[in-house]
Amino acid sequence: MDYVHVLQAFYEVLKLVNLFYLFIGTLAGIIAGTIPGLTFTTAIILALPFTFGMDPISGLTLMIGIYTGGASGGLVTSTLIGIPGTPSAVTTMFDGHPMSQKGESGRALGLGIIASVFGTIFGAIILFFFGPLVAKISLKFGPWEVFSLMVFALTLIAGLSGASLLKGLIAGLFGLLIATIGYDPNGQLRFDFGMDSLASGIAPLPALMGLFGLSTLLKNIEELRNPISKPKTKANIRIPMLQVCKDMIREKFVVVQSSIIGVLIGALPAAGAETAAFIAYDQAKKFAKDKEKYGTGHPGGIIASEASNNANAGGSFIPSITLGIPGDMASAVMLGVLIMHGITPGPGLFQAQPVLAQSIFVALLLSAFMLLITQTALLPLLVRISYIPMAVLVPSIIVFSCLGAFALNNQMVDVWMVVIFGLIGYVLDKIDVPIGPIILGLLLGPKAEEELMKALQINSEITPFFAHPISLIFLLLTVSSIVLTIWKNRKSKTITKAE
Amino acid sequence: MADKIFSIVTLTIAGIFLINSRLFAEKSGTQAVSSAFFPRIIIYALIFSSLILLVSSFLKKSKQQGEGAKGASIAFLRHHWRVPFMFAWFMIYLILMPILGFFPSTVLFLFVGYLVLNISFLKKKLLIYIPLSLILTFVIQFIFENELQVILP
Repeated sequence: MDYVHVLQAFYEVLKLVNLFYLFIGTLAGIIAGTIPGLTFTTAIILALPFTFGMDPISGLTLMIGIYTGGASGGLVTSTLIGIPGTPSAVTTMFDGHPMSQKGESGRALGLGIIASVFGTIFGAIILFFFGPLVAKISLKFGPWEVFSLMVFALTLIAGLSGASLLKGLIAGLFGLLIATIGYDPNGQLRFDFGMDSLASGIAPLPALMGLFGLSTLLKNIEELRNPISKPKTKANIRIPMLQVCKDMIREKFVVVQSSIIGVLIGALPAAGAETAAFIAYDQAKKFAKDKEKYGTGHPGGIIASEASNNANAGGSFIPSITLGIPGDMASAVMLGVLIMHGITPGPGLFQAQPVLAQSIFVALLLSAFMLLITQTALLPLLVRISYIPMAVLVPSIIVFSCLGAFALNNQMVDVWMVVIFGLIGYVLDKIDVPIGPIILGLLLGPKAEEELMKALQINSEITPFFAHPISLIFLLLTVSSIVLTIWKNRKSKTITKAE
Repeated sequence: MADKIFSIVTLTIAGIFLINSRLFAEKSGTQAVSSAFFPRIIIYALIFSSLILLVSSFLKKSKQQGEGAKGASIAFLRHHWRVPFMFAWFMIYLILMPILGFFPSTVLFLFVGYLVLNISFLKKKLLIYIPLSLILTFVIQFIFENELQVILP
């Protein structure tokens, strides 16, 4: 490993301007995570236009701040009012809310914050050691291996499909199909239907803004009739640091175990922070001596949930930056951001732009400390922010996302794309069609086609895909992934029927 | 019913793309395969998956069929009328923006949006929403035009 690049990355990220962006990002992420209904994925999308004028390291620093802050921000409402700010904070609620109801809100929040900080640092360290290693191995991949890897990544659609694998598959294929609009790798114009605006293809970012941003806001309007109840606790909460430290030492095994689970799940493409949190919580409970106390305000429950969902970030960056495959939806958005800045995530990133690649690890590491300072110091403010009414937030965020899309190319056509994809996202959600696979198809489709064309140009036979060992492994993993998902779906249906 | 409509829509989209792919189905001398090769693999897979969904939706006994599903949709719209309203209002805003300009159209959009989404209408909230719409629009315009150098409509 070239430590000069690591030191250069530290020098870049530690510049005052980048530390400021990291602070703003962390704060924005925490706020987005704190407000139920808003996710940090939405916050990353909204922050996108602000990165246009920045250099890539500054833009990434801002985004990583939002990512880390958002992963932890959900704990405030989960603990105080029993409504998870983010899906990954659902398990925090299991013990955080009961602890808060016992009058120990400060202890619950303190445990969540410290566990989040530990999880983030753990994830960053793993990324530092394993990121370059995976990238080094993947540099040896030819077009056959990369195409097979893309096919494998596309089967992970199953992980984003929820109950209906078939609908998820259709959504993924739809994403792949719309990714073919515009010029192909040979410069041939396809599927423009006589419209100039389609010649340059469907840009992933307006599609993301529509599918995740606008459709989420429309869904939030449905929740207006269910106002959030205010907690009985005072806004001026103090964290008993001594007590929190004692709890952390007592639950040290849970901290490490949950962080490992978070990183491992994060490194699996498309698995997501919520999966990590559920598995970590379950494992912590299984290994606990006093497992009957879980769900009633046990410190281990909060620690397991928060350490794992923050460690997940470091893990999810491994496939994102080394292979160009998003670890979860938030890293899919960040992949889009890198592409927009002219950076191609993938095996070559550590060779072509080593300082930028290492600055991801540095920013992630520093964001842990920023998280600790911001969340501890601004806790009373965060409690108040969680009560901003949706009636005010929804129209304001719509205007922001509209201008964010407009700022991409200074064209209204991108804003109309947000509208179209927003409607598609909302309607598909209503009929239980998962949206995630569309994005996966849209992001991975062009790369998969490019590699397939390269492979067929070298050898027009399909046998090399099976003859190259690594390619064969990916194809076998693809088949296993499909078979396993079908088996799991059938098993869960049988259990449901039996119940 | 939703699965039937969804599969028919995806079949129609796949059909349109398949017909359109004939325009670039011939490969050039330098190409190993034509430009329609990859999209057609996806289109055939999409047709196959949509047909399975369509057939299974006919075989599956739906809980909400015919009038039941229609009734549920009407009830949903009656209960959540703000969703289609805000969507339509957003489209009107986008049409108005190039005509009226960013500032007046955004103030109008925000103000009406705040009012419509406010479940319990109170006169005193008008006093909050008017300055809020004005200040927020000004702040957004300032950030985008001065900090991000985006020329707004």
